[in-house]
Amino acid sequence: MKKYFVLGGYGIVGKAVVNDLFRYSKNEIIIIAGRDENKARDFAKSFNSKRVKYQKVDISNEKELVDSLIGKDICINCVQYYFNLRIMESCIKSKTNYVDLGGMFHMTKKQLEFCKEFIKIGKCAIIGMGGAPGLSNVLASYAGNKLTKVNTIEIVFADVDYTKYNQSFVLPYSFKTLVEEFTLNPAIFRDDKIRFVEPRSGVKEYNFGKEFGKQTGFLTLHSEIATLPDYFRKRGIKRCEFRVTFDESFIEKLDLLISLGFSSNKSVEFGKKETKIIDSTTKIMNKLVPNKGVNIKDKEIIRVILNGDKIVDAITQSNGKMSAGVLDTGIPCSIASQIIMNGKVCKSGVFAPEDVINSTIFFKELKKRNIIIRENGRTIS
Amino acid sequence: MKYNFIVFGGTGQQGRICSRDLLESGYSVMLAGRNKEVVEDLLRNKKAGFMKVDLRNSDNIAKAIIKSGADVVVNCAELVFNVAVMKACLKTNKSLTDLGGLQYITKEQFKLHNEFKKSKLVCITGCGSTPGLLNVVVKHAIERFDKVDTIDLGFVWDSNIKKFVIPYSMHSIFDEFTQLPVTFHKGKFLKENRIICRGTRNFKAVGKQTVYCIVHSEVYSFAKYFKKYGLNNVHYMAGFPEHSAKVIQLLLNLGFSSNEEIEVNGVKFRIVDFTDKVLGRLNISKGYKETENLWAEINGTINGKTKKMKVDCIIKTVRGWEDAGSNIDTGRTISIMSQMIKNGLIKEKGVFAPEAVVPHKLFIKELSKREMYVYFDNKKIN
Repeated sequence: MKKYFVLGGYGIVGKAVVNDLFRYSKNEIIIIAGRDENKARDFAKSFNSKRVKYQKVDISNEKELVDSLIGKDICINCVQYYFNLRIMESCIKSKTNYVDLGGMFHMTKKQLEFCKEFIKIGKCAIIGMGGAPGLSNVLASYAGNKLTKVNTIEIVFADVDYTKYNQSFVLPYSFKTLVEEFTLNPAIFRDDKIRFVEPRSGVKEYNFGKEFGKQTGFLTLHSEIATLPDYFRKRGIKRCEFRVTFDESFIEKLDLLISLGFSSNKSVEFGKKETKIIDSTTKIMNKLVPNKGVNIKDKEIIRVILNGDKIVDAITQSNGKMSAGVLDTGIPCSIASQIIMNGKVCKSGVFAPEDVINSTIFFKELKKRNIIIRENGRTIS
Repeated sequence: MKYNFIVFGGTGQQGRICSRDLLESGYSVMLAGRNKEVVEDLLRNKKAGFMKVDLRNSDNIAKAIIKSGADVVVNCAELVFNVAVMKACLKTNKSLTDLGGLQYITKEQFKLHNEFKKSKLVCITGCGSTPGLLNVVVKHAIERFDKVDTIDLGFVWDSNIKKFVIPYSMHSIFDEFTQLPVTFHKGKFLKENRIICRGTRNFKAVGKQTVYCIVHSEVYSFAKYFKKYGLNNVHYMAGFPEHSAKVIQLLLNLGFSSNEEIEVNGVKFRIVDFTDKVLGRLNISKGYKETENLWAEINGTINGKTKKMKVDCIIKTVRGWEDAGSNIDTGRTISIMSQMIKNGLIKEKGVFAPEAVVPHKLFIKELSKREMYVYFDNKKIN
């Protein structure tokens, strides 16, 4: 029996990955791994199945990580991206396939440098295989491969939320990631070069149609810009950009917290011990995920626009327990892992999703999970 | 060296303001606190000393008082230490002032009245701006009345640069915004079931501002001391400028005011203490100026005729005290009142709010020396 090793499998997105693996990878073992043994055990037990196991792993201990990976077929990395390189190195040592959720451009570039090592061990690594990056890259390759020329690519995502929350603020995903989206200099590809622009610049309004309406996005640092320009170089790409959208009141709140210093990398002292402000704020903010028992009703759209008029969308609906944003991040990651395990990706090396994911197979799998693909408004899967 | 005063919380914002005022008035001051580095400028004064004291251990308080040899104890620390400091004063036979507590702490403090009286000591609790300065000014106004039916009072403030700075102790602000207010209504204390918005009012120094009924000790002390005027209603209201209120509300909504202890990277701390430390790192912009408007509206009769009197105390950023903004009205008020005890101007013994024992005419004169001005019906009186 093959073994999936899901690092951070009890986290918000990790849970979505594990749920999907459990449902769609029959007869295979799923190991929920992480430093919090209690959380891993509780989540594993909730499946009431011998197929789902748990393991305590401290990723800061390289030997422990390598030892725990030996004998596993694939490592699915659902922890914060800061650990991507360390985890990939451990996969090389343990000869394990690898999938992760992205690396915020700079990390992605470094991860691609491991390609030779993965070829040497004959294993495959797909990096940035969540919703965006991930699904967004596959949408781009699907639509771009139909065109003789790809001059521009714009990627943007948006959400509509009908949930009746019993809390005044809901965190859509990791606070650290949000802070980085708000504060790091976004990379854009323009005229054959990667350029870095001001955070929150490039404000642009998108009309997503009836359901999602008009929403305004700004440029952010994202992994797609690290790989898609190379993929489309031969088709003459000149511009590639990524934008996120948030509603105004959310932006105002995040801006306030940042301006008050709650995202600082500096430390504050308690007694003689120091703690980093951003780590402490993240711990406080990450409590603001939707309360248990809330029936989550939201939809997310990931849109890729090529040459200004070729539009492909992926639309995901929440399932009551998990938001659309969590599902469209976790599900693609699980699907890609299963594609590797089923031998449908035979190459070895480190790849971006557009390099190795067959869009036909991928969209078919998404459809089974109610993630709809539309091309210029027409449902194609 | 024997000091005239020991100031607990001496390295906090109000402690520093108070200590500076005491030093500039010619007294010697022992600053008792935790972070010596923040008071280096004050310690250049030969009459100033520093002592590291952790108030969480109550034995430390009495030891520090004895060691300082101070005549009067000034407590500018967080209100949770008020009762512990009072008990240490009883042990060491010292009179004291503090910045007050919310109603529930004030009530606990008043329970020590007989012990202070028996020991021939005085404790004045609530000696900041409000409670404190405003109480004494209202007392000064109320003496003109035969009868008083209603007192509405509170504070509003604003700044020229609309950027958040800590207005006063974040712990106190969070308490005020989370505890249910008590009003004195038709002669009875009434616990409201929510923070009540009392609408928008026009204020002498800051213009229009929205005010909210919050928990504050004046409601109790006015009902206690102004009973003889037939007082029926007291409502205390707070007003923050929009840019500041927004931040406070956000931090409350996100849980940054929580007393919960969390652990991050092996360090345990209370969330509210973390919030306080992060906000404490904010710099005050160059040219930043504040205006505070303490106010009261007194409804009653003078010589049998219905009278509505408007009371305003206006405090602006003072030259040389820029880093303190309008907070000078808290730290400098407790300094004035502590000096009055030291100089024997307050004869009563026991536990009191300021309006009961502080000589109001003299106090209002002292305010003027510090550029804090009082207006009755828009007419400056000091």
